[in-house]
Amino acid sequence: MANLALTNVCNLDCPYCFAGSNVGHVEGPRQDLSESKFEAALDLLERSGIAEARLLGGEPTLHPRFAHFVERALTRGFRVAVFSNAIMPESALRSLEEAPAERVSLLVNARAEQDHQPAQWEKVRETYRRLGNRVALGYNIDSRAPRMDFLLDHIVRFGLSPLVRLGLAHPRLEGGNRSLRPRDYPSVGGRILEFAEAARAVGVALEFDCGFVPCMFSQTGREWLQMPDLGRRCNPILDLLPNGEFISCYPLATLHREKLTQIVDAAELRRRFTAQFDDLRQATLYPECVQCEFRARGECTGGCLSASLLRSRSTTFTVSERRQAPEQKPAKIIPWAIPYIDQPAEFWQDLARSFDGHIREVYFPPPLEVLGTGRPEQPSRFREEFLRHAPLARSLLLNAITLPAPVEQVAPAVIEAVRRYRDEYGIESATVANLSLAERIRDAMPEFPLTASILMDIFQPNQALMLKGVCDTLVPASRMVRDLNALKVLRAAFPGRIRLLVNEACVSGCPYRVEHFHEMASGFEDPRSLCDDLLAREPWLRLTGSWILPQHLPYYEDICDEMKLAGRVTLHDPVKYRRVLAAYIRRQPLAPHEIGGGPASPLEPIDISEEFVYRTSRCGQTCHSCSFCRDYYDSWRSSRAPYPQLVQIRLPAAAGRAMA
Amino acid sequence: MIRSAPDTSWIVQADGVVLVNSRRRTAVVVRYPEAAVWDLLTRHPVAEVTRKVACIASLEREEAERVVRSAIDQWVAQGFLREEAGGG
Amino acid sequence: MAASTTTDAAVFAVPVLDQWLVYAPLNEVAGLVNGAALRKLSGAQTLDGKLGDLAESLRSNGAAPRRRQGVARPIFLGLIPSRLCNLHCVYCNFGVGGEAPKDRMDPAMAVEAVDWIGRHAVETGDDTLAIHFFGGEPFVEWDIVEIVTHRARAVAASLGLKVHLEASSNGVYPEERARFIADHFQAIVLSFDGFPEVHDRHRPHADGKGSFPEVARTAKIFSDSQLELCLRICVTEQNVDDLPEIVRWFCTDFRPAYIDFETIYETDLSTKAGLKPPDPLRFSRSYLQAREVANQFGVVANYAADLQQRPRNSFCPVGQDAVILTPDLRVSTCYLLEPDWQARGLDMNLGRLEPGRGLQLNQEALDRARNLPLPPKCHRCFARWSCAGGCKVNHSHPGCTDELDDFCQQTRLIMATTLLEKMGQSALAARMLDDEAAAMALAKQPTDVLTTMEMRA
Repeated sequence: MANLALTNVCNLDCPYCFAGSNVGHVEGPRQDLSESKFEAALDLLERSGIAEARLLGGEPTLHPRFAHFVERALTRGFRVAVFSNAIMPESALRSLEEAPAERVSLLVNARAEQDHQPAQWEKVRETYRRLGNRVALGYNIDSRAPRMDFLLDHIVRFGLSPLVRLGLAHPRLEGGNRSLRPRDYPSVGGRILEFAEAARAVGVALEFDCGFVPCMFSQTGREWLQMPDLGRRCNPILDLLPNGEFISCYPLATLHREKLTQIVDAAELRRRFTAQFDDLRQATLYPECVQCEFRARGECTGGCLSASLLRSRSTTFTVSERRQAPEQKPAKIIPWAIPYIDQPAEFWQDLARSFDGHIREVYFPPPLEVLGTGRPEQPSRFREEFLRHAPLARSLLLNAITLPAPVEQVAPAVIEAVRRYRDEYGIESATVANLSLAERIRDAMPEFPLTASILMDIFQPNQALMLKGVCDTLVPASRMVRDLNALKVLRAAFPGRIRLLVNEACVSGCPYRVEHFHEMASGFEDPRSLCDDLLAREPWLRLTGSWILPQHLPYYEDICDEMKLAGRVTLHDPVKYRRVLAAYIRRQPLAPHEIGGGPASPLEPIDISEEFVYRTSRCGQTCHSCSFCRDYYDSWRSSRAPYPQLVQIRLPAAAGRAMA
Repeated sequence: MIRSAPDTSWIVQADGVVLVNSRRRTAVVVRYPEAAVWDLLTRHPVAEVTRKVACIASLEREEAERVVRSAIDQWVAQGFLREEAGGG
Repeated sequence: MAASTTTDAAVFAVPVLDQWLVYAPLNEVAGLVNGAALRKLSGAQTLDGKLGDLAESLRSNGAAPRRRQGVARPIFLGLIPSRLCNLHCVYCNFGVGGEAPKDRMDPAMAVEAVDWIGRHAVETGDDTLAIHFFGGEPFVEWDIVEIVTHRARAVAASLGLKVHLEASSNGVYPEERARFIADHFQAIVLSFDGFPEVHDRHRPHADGKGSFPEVARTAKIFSDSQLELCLRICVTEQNVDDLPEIVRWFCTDFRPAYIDFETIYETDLSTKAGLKPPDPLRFSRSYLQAREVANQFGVVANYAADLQQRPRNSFCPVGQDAVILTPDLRVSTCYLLEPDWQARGLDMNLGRLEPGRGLQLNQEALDRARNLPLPPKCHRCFARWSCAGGCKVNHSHPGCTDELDDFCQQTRLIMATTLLEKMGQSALAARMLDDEAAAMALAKQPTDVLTTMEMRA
């Protein structure tokens, strides 16, 4: 057989349609089969010994020359079968009505009356009334619980042909139609048997289209249906499209096409498609089919090929470099500086046990009266207990980006506090954001280790030289966290230890940074993130931020001695804290929105590929001439746009009910 | 740099994975442990894949490295992966 | 009716408006009689006619389902990679505030467990290597999931077994993980509490942000795959009235195979979050309407304690030889936290995984788990052989109140309705549910035992 699609337009919008055509959603412009191609198609049917011209669409009766095509096919001696939704122009209906009844038939893809708009149902009813038993009904099953009883009612009520043709709604390879999942076949099989029994009781026979499989029926059901070839019907149907190309069938339309003008006959055409698809069929069998007895006996070919092919994956991926890839070296243990959160001593004891040898220190801010940290004071209910009993080294965080008074006024009290914490609690080091203050602490306590904070904004070798003799450890500026080359240069310039802050996530070189920290340190009532508006306009900028995912740490292991986790606020929940810390220590993958980064960090579960990391850690951040991050973000967003069904979720009014 | 070839797709089967190259019209059945190697390579760097394969197949690290490297070489030869000029 | 002292009463009767539903669960026989007939049935006289036939059927001594004996034949190997979770569900005490242990399973030990279940399946003649992941959120420990998945598939292939991988999950992870699960697993129970407002209130991230977008996306990925998808709804006062609409939406957009309904267990956390269990009658009505909607779509709506196809001894994997490995290598038969059972005086531990030797199970512990006692009230309840006492921890004996609590009441209402529907009495069931007094008379009847029938049996 071969089907001739007269047009690609339709006047309905069936969700299961695998022809990919409906009014308003036609793929490309409207296409109608030309008269010359129609005649050439009839020539092919003649050469192939096919006696029936099967006309479909879209809705074939909408072709402006439909009546003429029917007449031509009849004149040339063919029988004509029209696949239609029964909602057709008067001229089309009349041409079918006036044609010899024994040579023209109409197969209607039927819907229940209540599924039609009233005006549409009137047309359907008119078609049934005027064509009577020249009409056979077809039904495409696209759900687990098909309701088919209306078919028998219509047959009896309108005197239609006592035959129902059942089809399964197969998926289009390119997607976009509602299809039946093979996992639902057994449920459907049961319903079909119930329907078949009811049909038999009123003298209606069933026909089955392609893609049915024996295993969807019980053994009793199979015996009752008596259709031993049911599972062998996934074969090239040969559908001629309005543009003159043949496809094997609509679901596989994108896989392979042959031109009408290059075909000798249908048998040759079938051979060409079979040759294309046989390998694929073998490769894509469902696991259940591989050892299936029906397949072994040749009674089934494994169901719809399109459904099988939908299981295939083709994500592009990169195999990381094979020559001297950093991840091929055994991971060195890099100690971590981690933030204090207000948890009892058991929490810290547990961390010490779990991550023995990995934690260098826990840093915490002293009370505000010592020195501001640039943040509101955080909870400190357990701080005393922590200071006295936590089995981890502790470090003071003196993180004020600007001092409340000249350094010579502020420094003495700060130094006094540092001494007290050292003597009373055994505090072992301090991180300082103000270089002047650091110099004074170093003068007063030359043996006390100091770390230059990220807020000191050290990113160039000349700045690193300024730290010499003052700070023992340097946390490089956030603007360079993603710049491997710059980090290497800084490392070469600084004689002390490099500590990399992996999850601060501020936008690189953020111009609002200083003002923001000033506002936080100055007691502003509501110091918000000043980058919000910018990031709302340019969300891709979040991808350029100062964050490194745990799974990508190997890239940085050679250029730092220690790593640091931020998160006094974002990781205040102990469960999340532990999880993020464990991920970083064990190099377990996290998505960017999971790392506890600051307000400028990515908010969505964006997949960060190796390629992205490789490129953006070496690109030198020439964002003015590069759209890589923007394109990456846009591509990710568009590939993960909500599926049509999700976009169209119409939450009933109850969903907006006020919460108690 | 080694990347998946443009016409490569794969299907997870009960006892492994089938790799398909639609341009070369080849399909290869890959069983364990190499089936795990393929799947893991789509998401992880080689070192991570090696570590996991060592656990999955109860191999010493060196043997796991050999299995992974050999599989990659084979898939390059078969056209499912291809070598490209390195980036950056 | 007087309370029975028999531990396995055979015949029960519950009021349905002005009639009585008599039911012999072990014979799988039920009948609907009026008060006069019931008095005769519960009396000592010989009966004839239809009533006599009914009495005969009720009395015919069906056998209780056999309890497992001997060597363990696990329905699955449970794996808890860790108790950690990436959500902060307001009704869950896993991993919150330090209550749950924080350790993580060693992948090498997980591999040993997989090997053990493979060998054990072969030895006991099972054809499937079945693993079910629990948590916390099992997919947080992605490394272990990947390793176990591939190991299980490799072992199953080498032993000629089918593989069945299943997990209970919150659906909050990157898309590529969802696709891995869709490709390699066979079934997923996805927690999804309905419309965004309620779902996000029930199941937020730790920072308070809702998890609906991610869960919906994951549900869609699973829906498009070959996975057997079960959506599990936690029902509270907040969403109980929306169940039919939620189900309609689930069935249309996600096309699951099953939808599970669980009413929230009241805890300090849930109370603090302002969440309450739904009123049993309100829940029953809404659930039954939702079930009808699901039926129209060919989806199975599941309330775990409802009428089963066959009488059973256990409502859950406990008693079915489930072996569940915790991160610290204990093997237990219940996935709840050990302190939860211990608070009830229960010991659900079956043994340990010993490196190099696999799971070492204590037969005595196994037999004890198979024969946990039911609270006395369950022996008096017509739902006894379907509900089977509900959760062995939350409805433990001793420990459980002797009164019919919310769970008991809603179970009784639902089961009675299911029975009546099977008997073609849907209209009667609907009238009973609509009549609050009648419904509560059924729900709260303290004993259902038809004493005299037992004596004659």
